[in-house]
Order: sequence, then C-alpha cells, then structure tokens
Amino acid sequence: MTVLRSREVPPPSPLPRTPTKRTPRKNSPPLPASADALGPPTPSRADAPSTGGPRTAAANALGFRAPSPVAPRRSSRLASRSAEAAAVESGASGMGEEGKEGRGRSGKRGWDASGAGWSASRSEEGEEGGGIVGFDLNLPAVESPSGTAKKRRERGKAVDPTVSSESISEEPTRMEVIEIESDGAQEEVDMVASRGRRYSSSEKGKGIMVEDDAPSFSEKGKGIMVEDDAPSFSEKGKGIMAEDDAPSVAGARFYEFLDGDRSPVHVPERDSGEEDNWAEGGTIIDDEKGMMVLVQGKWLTMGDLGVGWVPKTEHYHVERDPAVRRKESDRRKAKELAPKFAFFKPEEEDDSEEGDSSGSPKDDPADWPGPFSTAVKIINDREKRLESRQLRPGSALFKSSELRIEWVPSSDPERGCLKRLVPSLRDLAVRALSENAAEIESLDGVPNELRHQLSGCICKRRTMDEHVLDLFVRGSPTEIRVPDCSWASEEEFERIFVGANTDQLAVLQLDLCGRCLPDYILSSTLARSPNKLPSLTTVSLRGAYRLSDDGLDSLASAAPLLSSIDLGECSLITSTGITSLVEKLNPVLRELYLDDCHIDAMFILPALMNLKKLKVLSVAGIESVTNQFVHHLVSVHGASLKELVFTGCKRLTTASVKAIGEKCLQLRSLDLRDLVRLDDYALVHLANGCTSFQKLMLRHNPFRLKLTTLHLSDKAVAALLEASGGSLTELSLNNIREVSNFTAQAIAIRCSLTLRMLDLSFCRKTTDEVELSRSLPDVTLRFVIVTKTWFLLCTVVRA
Amino acid sequence: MSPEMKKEETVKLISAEGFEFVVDKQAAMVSQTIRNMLTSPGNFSETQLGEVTFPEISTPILEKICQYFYWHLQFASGKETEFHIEPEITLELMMAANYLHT
Repeated sequence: MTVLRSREVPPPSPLPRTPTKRTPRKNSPPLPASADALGPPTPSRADAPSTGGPRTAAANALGFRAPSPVAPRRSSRLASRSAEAAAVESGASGMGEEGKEGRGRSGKRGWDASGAGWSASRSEEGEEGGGIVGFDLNLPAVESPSGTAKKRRERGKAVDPTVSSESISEEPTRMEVIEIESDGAQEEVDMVASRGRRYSSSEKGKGIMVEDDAPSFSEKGKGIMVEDDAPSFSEKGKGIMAEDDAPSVAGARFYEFLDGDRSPVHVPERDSGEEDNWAEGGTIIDDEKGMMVLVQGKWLTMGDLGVGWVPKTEHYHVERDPAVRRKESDRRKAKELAPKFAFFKPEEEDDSEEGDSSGSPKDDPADWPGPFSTAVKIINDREKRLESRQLRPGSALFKSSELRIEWVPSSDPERGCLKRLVPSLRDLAVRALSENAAEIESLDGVPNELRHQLSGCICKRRTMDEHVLDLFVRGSPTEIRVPDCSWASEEEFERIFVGANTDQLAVLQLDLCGRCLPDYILSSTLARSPNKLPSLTTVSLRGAYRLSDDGLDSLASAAPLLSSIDLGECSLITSTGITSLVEKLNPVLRELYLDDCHIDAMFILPALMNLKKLKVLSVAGIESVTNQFVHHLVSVHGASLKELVFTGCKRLTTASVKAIGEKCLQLRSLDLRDLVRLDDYALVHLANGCTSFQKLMLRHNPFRLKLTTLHLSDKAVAALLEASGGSLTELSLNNIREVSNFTAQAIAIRCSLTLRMLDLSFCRKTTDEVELSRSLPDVTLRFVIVTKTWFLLCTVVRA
Repeated sequence: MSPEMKKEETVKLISAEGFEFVVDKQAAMVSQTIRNMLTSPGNFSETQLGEVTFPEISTPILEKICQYFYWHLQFASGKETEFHIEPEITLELMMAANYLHT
C-alpha cells in the first residue's frame, strides 16, 4: 500500500474564480468595524465562487477591515477560503486591473501584480481601519467561515507593508484552492483541508527551509506557493500566529516576525486545528500529521521540518479546550490509522535460506552440468562466430564492446512490415452489437465464445446493464462471463440471478462485483441451497470486497465440483475462510488464485499441501509468502504444478526459484515479476529444471551480477531462453536491465516459432541492431510491447 | 477486382435459400473456412466445382458477407473506409462470421 501522505487536492484553477472576482468593486466605504462587518452578503458577492454567501460577505467586510473582537476561529480552511475570497474582493476593489490579473495567474507573476494591488488596497484599508496596522488578530473567529476569512485576510493584508505584497495577494488566490464546500462538517473539512495542506505545507516547508534566513517575505511566499496549495495563506497565517503570544498580538509583533529570519509557517497541515491552536497558542496535535509533526506542548515541532522559529511558540497555551480535545481525538484516530499506511520494510535477515547455497560465488554457474551450461556454451559459440565474422571485414568499425549484429531491412516484399490488420467481420459485428446492446432481443443460439467476446465488449463500452446481463443469464447458459459488474446494484443483481437457471452453469465470472455481491445476496441467489450450482467448475469473483468467509462457505456448499476459484482482491476473506474452503474442495480444487488477499500464507499452507490436484496457484501480492512456503508447496505438488504466480512476493529469493526449478518440471507458466531479491542463479536453476515454459513473466528483477563477467545477466537470460524457451508463447522481460543482444538472439532463434507476446519494455540496452526475426521465415508476433525502449526493435514479419 | 473475371478465379457461394453469389476466389479466401474448403485436399466437390453451400446462412447475411470480403481486400490494399452493418442483421451476421472464421 502506498503511503498516503495527503489526499490529492486538485488545485483549483484561479481562472474560474477570477471572472467572478473581476467584477469590479468600487471602493465602498468601510463597513463598521464590528462583527457585523461580516454582514449579509452583498450582491456583488453573489457570484462569488462556490464557497458561498457568507464568504463573500466576509470578503466584503474584509476589504475594509474592521477590527473586531476575537472570536474563536473554527476553521482555518474555511477562514482562509473566505479570507481569500475577501482578499480577492478587496484586491479587486483596491487594485486595478493588474491586481485582478495577478490574482488570476497562479504564478509568481500573479503575485507581483496583485501584490502591487494589495499594497494599494492595504494602504487605503489601513487608513480606513484606523490603524489596524498589519496583523489584526483580534478578528473574531466567528462561526461563519467568512468571519474567519475576514480575519485571515486582514492579517494577510497587514503584512503588506513590510513584506512584498505579492505573497499575500497570492495567498488569497491560493486559498481558493481549498475546495471545501460544506460549512457543516467541520471535521471533514479540516481533514481534507489539512491533508491537502499537509502536503503542500510539508512541501512548502521544505521549500522554505532552503531559503531560510531573512528571505524576503515574498520569497518565502514563493517557497510556499510553489506547491500551489491553497492553504499557503493559512500556513502563513499560522506561522504568524505562532509568533504571537495571544490572539491579540499587535501587528508589530507580526512584522517583527516577518522581518525576522524565521521562515513562515510551514505549519504542516491541520489547518483547522492549527488555526484554533494558534489562536490560543494551544498544543497543536496534529493527528494525521501527528506522525510528521510532533506537537509536544509546543507550537509545532517545526524542528522536524527544520523551521527555525519553533521555540518561539512555546508560550502558547491551550486555551481552547474544544479545539484541543478535537485535536486529541483526531490524533488518536490518526494513530490508529497510521499502521495501515506504514511502510513495511521486510527484515533483511529473514527466515531464509540466506544460505543461498546455490550462491557460492566462486562457482560459475555456467560451469554446472545441465541445460544451462549447454545453453551458455551455445551462446558463447555464437558470440565468437559473430565476432570473428565482424572482425574480418571492418573491425575498425567496431566501436562498442558489445556485440553488434548487422541488421539490414528485409527486401523481401512478402515479409513486409506489419500488415495493417483488417478488422474481422466478427469483430465488427461484435462491436456493432455492443454499441446497440439495449436492442438485442435474445442471445439464443449464440455460442459461448461469442458471448464472452460480446460481454467483454459491452462491459468495456459501459453499456452493460440489467437488461443486457439478463440476456446472458436467460435460458440455461453454460457459461457466463462478465468482466465488470461494478455497475450493478444489489437489487439488480438479485433480480437477475434469483430466477436464473444454473443447472448447467459451468463457468461463472463476475469480476468487480464488490458492490453488488455481499454475503446475503450470494446466499439468496446463487448459493441459495446446497448444490444449487451442480455443474459449476470455474468461478471468478475478483474484487468481491464484500464477500466474507461465510459467503465463501455457502458458495462451496452450493458448488461441490468447483475446481477453479479466483478470489483476487477480496479483501474480507481471511486465512481461516480460505482454509475451510480448500478443505471443503479438497478432492477437486485445481486452481486457486488469491491475488492481493489479506491472508497469511503460512496459515493456509497445510490445507494447500493436502490438496490432491493442485495445478495452479497464484499468490501475487501476498507479502507473507516466504521461501519456506514455496519449499513446502513444491515439495508436495511440484510434479503437477502447471502455473505459479509470485508477482510481488518480495520475500522470495533465489532459493525459492531453485526449489521450483528442481521440483516443478512440468511448469508451464511462471510469473516472477517484481521479485527484487533474485539473482542470476535463479535463471540457472530455472533453465536446468523447467524445460517447457509457455509463459514466462519477469519484470523488474535485478538479477544482480554476482560474477565479474560483464553481460552475465544478458547471457543468463539468453541461456534460459535457449534451454527452456522452445515452446514459449508469452515472454515478458520488462525492465530487466541487462537484456541485450544475446537475449534478442536467443529469442529470435529459439522462440520465434511460438512466441505470441513479447514484452521488452524498459530494456534500455537493446538496440537497433538487435534483430529478432532475422533468420526466421515465419514469425508471427502478435503483441510487442516496447515501452520506453530507446531503440526500436525490429520484429515480426508475416501475417 | 479485375474487370474480366476468368472462370477459374471465382467461386460460387450458395445460401440457404439457394441464392448463388459468385465472388472472386481471392475475396472468398478472406474466410478461413472457405479457404480451407477450397484448398484442402479433402473436400473434392468444393474444390472441383468451385461451389460452397451454406445451409445455415440466409441470403441477406451471405450477401453482406460477400460485401465484407471485398471491403476487406480494399482495406488491406490501403483504402480504409467504414463497413456499416445494419443493426437488424448484426446478430446473425456475427454468428455467420464466427462460423466462417472471417
């Protein structure tokens, strides 16, 4: 799971807002400096951005800042929003066109322009406000967001004189970024806001760190603004606040702060909380950020972020209990949630088999007897031949130390470039049908293959709905495949399947059915009674995130002949459920796909070992799969295993692959993607053991070179292909760094007859000269994926 | 499509109702099924007479299929146009195309 640092806060483009702001506001006389300043929204505000009336009202008031009694601030975010609206308004009023434009632009330029405007407006406001010089912390933290906004705004403005106004003006714009619409859910808003801010603030913080001493405020502002994050202003505000002892800090303090070399707020996140806190200087307990910012009775251990002025805030006291309490509870919540997002670093020492006995580094694997060494010899011979051939004529041209294979475009007209694939009539018809899916009356007589293609096409086009699915379910179908059931609701699903005749149903695929398939629906439709699905052998319920162990149990009772189950990404299933399922289906289960389930591999191992006929096992993405698991599994089932998928099982090392190579001689398909602890010996073992791969998927395996010979990995892969690639139909060498000429040659020579899918993405060492189809008369490569390969691979030929 | 069609280069496709469609051999070969019928040594009558009967395919469908053959050849030679399929016949056309491997 990725570490969730912050929710992505889509930066609102200032543009949509600017038009509204652009309504020129004449300088209206200052409103009375009182809480009423926040008064009723004025018509000009009416078209304010979505934040709504109160904000605009506040904005109005803001322009004319009136000192008002400090009121508890509820949400910095909303405050900032209104503040920014207000700022915008005032800016609009005060500044000229350029101000508005400045605001519209989200860059620094905008700042400048608006900054200028700001100063102008500020000065006049200053006059109006009667000396609310700079920072007026006395603004009431009123309930209405506008109120707080007002405050913010004023504060921001106050800063003007000493700092370039750019930053300030920029902030209001920035603040608009906060998209919190609802005034109500303060908490959520705060959360969201804070998260968004968190992100930016942390970024900002970093940004500011760099320019720590006595940068101009605008610089600081820039640092902050870079993130284009709304809360910037609030951040700043916070910083400012932090500086102050009490909400009623005079502007002078603020200036002092600003002038100082302290970087402004990099208050990480928790806008709302922070705001509250700063007002009272309480302990800011950053829940979510808690991890990042330890609030230890100080304002924010900005030390974490390297912010210099942390100590200053010590004198802040918790004055407002509710806010603090909220912070506390939020923090607790965050602590509970945190482990979920924690990044797990697998212990290096781990249980294995670091006795990678295969790895006696002195021992050159190429010397070991077996198919691998034979293959390596072949490759070496080839290399020598090529070298000698090339050395003869223009050896002077030999620039690189790598083997260069001369490539000449084929002049044979028949073997032209990829023939433009004409869409078949069947595909055209399926496409046409899927577009008009609603008009299909019946699918009687349509063979299964066509049905599947049709349902796939319809799902892709998102035209699948209850009526269409009903067509597939009607009658007594033998196979139903729906790759995407996410459109269905519980009622629809129930309606469709409650009357379905499932006697002959052998294959059922309902992927992405999470929304519509909780346990009780399953029990009321498909698994209504034991043996309701008498012929069902294959079921796929990928993404059934509401299915729990009980549902699985009822399914197993209803379908006693189930031999292939796909439970990928069923998050509610536990190891116990799997174990009981496996035990129930002990005599018949052949294929089990457990991708990305939250289970413990070792727990289910005994049940797996008892299976009689296991042929396919996929445990992709399950972190608890270890070498031990693999060892035991293959020792029991090795001889009959046909397909193994270990994508992303990061703990596996070469020892597992060795076990696989030794025991799973009939293996047809192996997926070792994203296993970063494999080295070249793994390839050796595979080559020596499994001789008949049909599908080999490797991705991002480093295959670290343990020997000193250059290009060993390339040769090792080539040797593997040479030895075992005779029947390869799908090959993926995605991001295997060392893949280069030898591998290409091996592919061309050995795999070309059968290969249907080839993936050489990110193999940067392959070059133009690599020729895959040089000597092969009839090669049909259906898919060649060459993403990010810097040079083109010439491939294919003939249709 | 050459203006003068030698007899040896055409085949006759017969629908369920008995309608006969005479098409180029090259066009008919777009269908793998027909290609196999005409080139494999086993089906003597088809190969020798140059006629293939399709008792399950109705006339309008077979007509559309022949149109597709020519469209396919045109597409492969570079002229890419759109092949429109009337909604009413789509389902049957799909099944016939499936049968004909085309």
